[in-house]
Amino acid sequence: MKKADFLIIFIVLICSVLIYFSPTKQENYKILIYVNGKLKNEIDYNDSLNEKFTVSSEFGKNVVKIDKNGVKVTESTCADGLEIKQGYINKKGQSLICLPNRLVIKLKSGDEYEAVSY
Amino acid sequence: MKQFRINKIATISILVCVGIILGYIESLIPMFKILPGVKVGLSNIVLLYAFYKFSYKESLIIGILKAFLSALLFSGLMSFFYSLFGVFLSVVSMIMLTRLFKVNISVIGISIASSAMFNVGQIIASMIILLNTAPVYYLSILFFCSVINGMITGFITKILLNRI
Repeated sequence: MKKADFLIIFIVLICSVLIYFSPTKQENYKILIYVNGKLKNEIDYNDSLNEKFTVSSEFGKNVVKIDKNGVKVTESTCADGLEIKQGYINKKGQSLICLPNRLVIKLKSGDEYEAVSY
Repeated sequence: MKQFRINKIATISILVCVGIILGYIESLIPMFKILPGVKVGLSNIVLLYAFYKFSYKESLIIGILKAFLSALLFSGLMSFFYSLFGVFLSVVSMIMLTRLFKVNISVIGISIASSAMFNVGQIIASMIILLNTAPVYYLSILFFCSVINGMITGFITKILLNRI
């Protein structure tokens, strides 16, 4: 082992650590809102979005809030309000579900590819 | 002159064969398959050996032939695309480092650098295929493993160069 060998080990390890701690890219995902199994609304998420809207149907009403932290349900006509207690969701594959109102809010990957086989 | 060329062709083809077999043996050992994409890279020994014994040209030829043949034999042609970038970048890093440090660098350092650059090439290839920058984050794990793997292959190559 010579001097430059240690230098290379050092550089590669530093690169590894730098990439590991580099800020991850804002995930881009789609917010899919289903009522009674039917797709009602589809929104492309970005963190400048700041809106509040009501999803109403024959089963009940829910107020959905979208802001920089993610998506949450703030008000609901259902009895238990479990989806309100769940708070924000902001990762792909997470979902908010309100069974009495038959409401499902899903976050789906916005990228074209989810898996690639070699 | 003719004798010399035949000699070289034979040597290169033997090294390509050894490289393919080493790659195959490596894929049979499940211990090395803990993380996807992380391999000890035993066939890197052949590239390094060719680089030290002959020149970068032979190393590049062996790398490309080995990638092509092992893609045809074992995995799909897609892996040829991945390896091609890797082989090219790792040979370039070998040339650059030997020019830059001359006598101050040993086989081990070059082995580590080339295995790290092989991973960079693969990540670039996967970025082109996916059209996405997400694979970059996997480089962190790959770099860390390439230090260990590069040391292993570097030590083996050092022993090999002393004996043959």
